[in-house]
Amino acid sequence: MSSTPETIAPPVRPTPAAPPAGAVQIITRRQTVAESLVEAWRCRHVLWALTTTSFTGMFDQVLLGPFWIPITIAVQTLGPALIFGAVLDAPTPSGIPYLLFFLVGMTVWSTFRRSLKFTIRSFHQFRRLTREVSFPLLLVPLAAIAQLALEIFIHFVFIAGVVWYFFYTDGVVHVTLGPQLLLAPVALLWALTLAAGIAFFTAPVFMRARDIRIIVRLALPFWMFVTPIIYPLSHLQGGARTAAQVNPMTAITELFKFAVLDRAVVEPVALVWSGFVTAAVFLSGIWFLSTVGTRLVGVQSLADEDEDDGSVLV
Amino acid sequence: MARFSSSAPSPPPTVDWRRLADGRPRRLKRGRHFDAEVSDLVEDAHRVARELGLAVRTYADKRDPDKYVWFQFARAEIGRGEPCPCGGTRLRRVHLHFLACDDCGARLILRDSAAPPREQQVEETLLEEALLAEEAAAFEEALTEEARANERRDHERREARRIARKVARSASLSTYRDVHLSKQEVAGLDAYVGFGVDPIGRDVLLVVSVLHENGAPIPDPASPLGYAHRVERWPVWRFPDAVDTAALRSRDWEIHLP
Repeated sequence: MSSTPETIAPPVRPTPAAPPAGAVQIITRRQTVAESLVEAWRCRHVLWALTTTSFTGMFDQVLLGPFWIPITIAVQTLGPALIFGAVLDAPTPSGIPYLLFFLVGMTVWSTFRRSLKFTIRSFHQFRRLTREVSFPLLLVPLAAIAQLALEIFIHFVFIAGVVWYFFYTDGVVHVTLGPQLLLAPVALLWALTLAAGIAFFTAPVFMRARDIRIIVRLALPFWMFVTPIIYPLSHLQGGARTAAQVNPMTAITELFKFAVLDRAVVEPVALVWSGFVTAAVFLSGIWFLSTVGTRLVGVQSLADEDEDDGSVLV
Repeated sequence: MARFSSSAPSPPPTVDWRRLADGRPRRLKRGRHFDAEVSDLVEDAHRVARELGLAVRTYADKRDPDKYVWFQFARAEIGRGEPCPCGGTRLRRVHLHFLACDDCGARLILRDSAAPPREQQVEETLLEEALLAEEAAAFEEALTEEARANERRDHERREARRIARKVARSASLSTYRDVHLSKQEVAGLDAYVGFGVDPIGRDVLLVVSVLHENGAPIPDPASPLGYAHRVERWPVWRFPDAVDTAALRSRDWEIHLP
């Protein structure tokens, strides 16, 4: 029995017919980064509404409410400080008490880490609102970050308390009061910008793949260990130090330590690199959010291109 | 932000809509920005939007729908396939519910495909309410009518049962034989009196009352009289010295049932 070979033509995707002249076309055009930023600034008043919603929502059915913030900071700082400082005898620059050194480093890191934690679920938290009300999506992760203001303030209160404690016990003020202190909020804003840039990727992806939360949760401890939080950067030499400075959080952490303790390794190259990485992540995050993100979040139907309504993806 | 001043329990909304109708989303909080009911505020926003020749989309925040409400004004509300009021046909989607005209830049609310325009919705709601009220009245009337019919049927059924029981009770005349009866008008009663022999052969005096319903005798084809009746018997055999049965038999009787 002979068989003739069949030739199977590759499937041809039909080209969409051009809409007739005068027909209404609904075009899905993505915003540019600049347009997104301008729109976000125009609707900046929404940020307060989102932030208060997010902040109060965080303490729903929590009996102690915001009082958990200082408790959490104390537990997350004192425990590791005791282990690394007293048990493992971790080094500190110029005789700074390890508790203060660790607390200052943790203020930056905790701000960064908590920002990533809160932002990742932000679109999920506001999923109904984002589908019903039209406002720039950038504001959602930013609101999640803004609710950390109280936490950052409490961190500073802790730093002041520890400084006062060592002044009381040792008679030494470990903080240098000078103009460099103005760099502290700059460093924190920098860390928050980097966190926001990452959040612009992770938060919309979380809406479709919860795996991103696990990935971030696994990556953060490792990232913390390669950031000079529990050890001073001056302790690293050669290739290890260079490698550490590839991490954009290294320069930010060192800048904050310099601002508060006046003792840190602030290298201009590392700062420029960190600034470049932060800007790149932030801007590409905005681009991602305004292109792919809108679809992942669901504020524009995923079926837009398939709808037979003359929609054109521009 | 607009300020609102009133301490009355349910004052009319006094939001400065003209300041808020700039196309940007606004969240208003009850007790801070307005004191009225959220539904009243929403209605007020739609009313102002109509007055300004605009459209508005509202959303009660799910966190506390009685307290927070979002408003967003737009140039117009259009359906799928409809152009911008400026005539522009190239519309850019900016949100699930919002479009922007590429020609004039106006922000437009994209109406849900299934939902009619707001004005039509209001008209339809009113019409629907009117129809519902009419339907409800008709339904209530039907219920009343049905209840009445049921009551009538129940009454007829009860009456039929009562008459049937009456008829059943009255069927005893056929149990007697050699019955002699004569019509007797006693105190307005339609009755027959006479005598007969009971099933075991004893003489009895009989008083047969014809049963009436609404002033007319109840017909009963099974009855020897043709009407339903009740029989009362008096045992003559108990009074052999008082009643002469032979004399009774010799009298003329109107009815004789063997």
